[in-house]
Amino acid sequence: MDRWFWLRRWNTRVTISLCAVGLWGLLTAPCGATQRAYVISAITGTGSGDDPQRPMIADLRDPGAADRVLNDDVDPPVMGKPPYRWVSLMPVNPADGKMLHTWTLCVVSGEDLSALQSAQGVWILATSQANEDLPNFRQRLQMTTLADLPAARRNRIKQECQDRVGLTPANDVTLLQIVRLLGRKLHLDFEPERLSAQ
Amino acid sequence: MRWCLLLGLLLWGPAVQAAVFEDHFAEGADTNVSAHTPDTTGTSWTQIQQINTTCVAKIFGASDQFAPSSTTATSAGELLSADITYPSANYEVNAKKVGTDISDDTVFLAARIQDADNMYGARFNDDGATLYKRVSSTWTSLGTSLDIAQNNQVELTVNGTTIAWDDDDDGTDEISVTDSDISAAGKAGAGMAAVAVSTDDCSNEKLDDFIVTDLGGGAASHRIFLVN
Repeated sequence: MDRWFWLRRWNTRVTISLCAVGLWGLLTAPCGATQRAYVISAITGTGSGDDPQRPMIADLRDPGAADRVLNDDVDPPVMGKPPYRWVSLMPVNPADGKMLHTWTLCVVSGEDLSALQSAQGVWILATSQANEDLPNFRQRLQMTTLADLPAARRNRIKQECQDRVGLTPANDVTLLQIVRLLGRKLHLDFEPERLSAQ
Repeated sequence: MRWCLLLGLLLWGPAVQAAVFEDHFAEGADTNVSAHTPDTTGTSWTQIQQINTTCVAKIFGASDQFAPSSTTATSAGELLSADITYPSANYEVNAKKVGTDISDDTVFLAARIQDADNMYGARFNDDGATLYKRVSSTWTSLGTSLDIAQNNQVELTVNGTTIAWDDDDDGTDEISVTDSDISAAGKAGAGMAAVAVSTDDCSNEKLDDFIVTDLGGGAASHRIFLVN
């Protein structure tokens, strides 16, 4: 038995344990593929605790998620789809707490983003690939210019930028620069990596 | 070389950050949190908001946790501030979510509490979290996460204009957003049930190990060791 025998044996046990944990994680992971999107959403809500100011996407349900208990105060409990995970830039007027803008930039995350496509007041700027995490999604947006897009989509983005920030981006502008442009209209400190929903 | 790498890995770690407020809710007898003196660091807890009087935050001597005084009170709740002089407006509010509950049975962590009408906060339970700000009494939702496991350490961070929520204190924030509407340090806080949503109920939700850590003037950093 050499001097490293116990260390090697311990390493083997650790490796086997980690493999078992990884396999268990794969077997128990949800079947759906998480997708993410940068979205422009209209705002709803009066600002009370029961009806807070929020993007309209906050009220959408994720059709791809498993049902869960939504209300356990009644018998039987109300079951249904959970909302999407989301985050949103929401600057307000300090004097009264009311929204400074009628729209907001959001990151939305869910198993099935199809509910966004038909929602009122919601415009999808870009959608990730299945299971693409936010850093990789941003990297792809950094490498995609308006010129890479079909004409109809490119023109829609230009029109949205014109309507919201008063600028029409050139064809060599990347989609990540579009995200930054829209976000900076809402908050001067905005950077895309500082807006994330897992 | 291997030893140098090993030494480097062993020494790599988060910079030591000071806990400015720390409470594990140790009490010999049943005590309302508003009458409890923090057991480690901090001066007191002060009631900021009371919604109905049927439920307040209480420490039961047998369990030493931040718990509701009633498990059946509906549309009730309380928010308390963690009192101490905060060295900066940048800090993390960390607590262990020990109760298990869903739907409208919720707990609440707060940061930069100026008064009952101005603060950042997170309302959460097993279903997930909603990140809020309240400015001039108007509530605004900033983001949501889904699913928080029993006994997770959860964390609300206010650091400059970054407001973040971490469901499991793994260093990856579930919600992170840029916001500058409340910039003064104020105080951290903890609460339960109807702090934000008036119909939330007191039930089985509980907290433990409440720790506020100052982040100083900038973002959190790491110690870096150079090994030849």
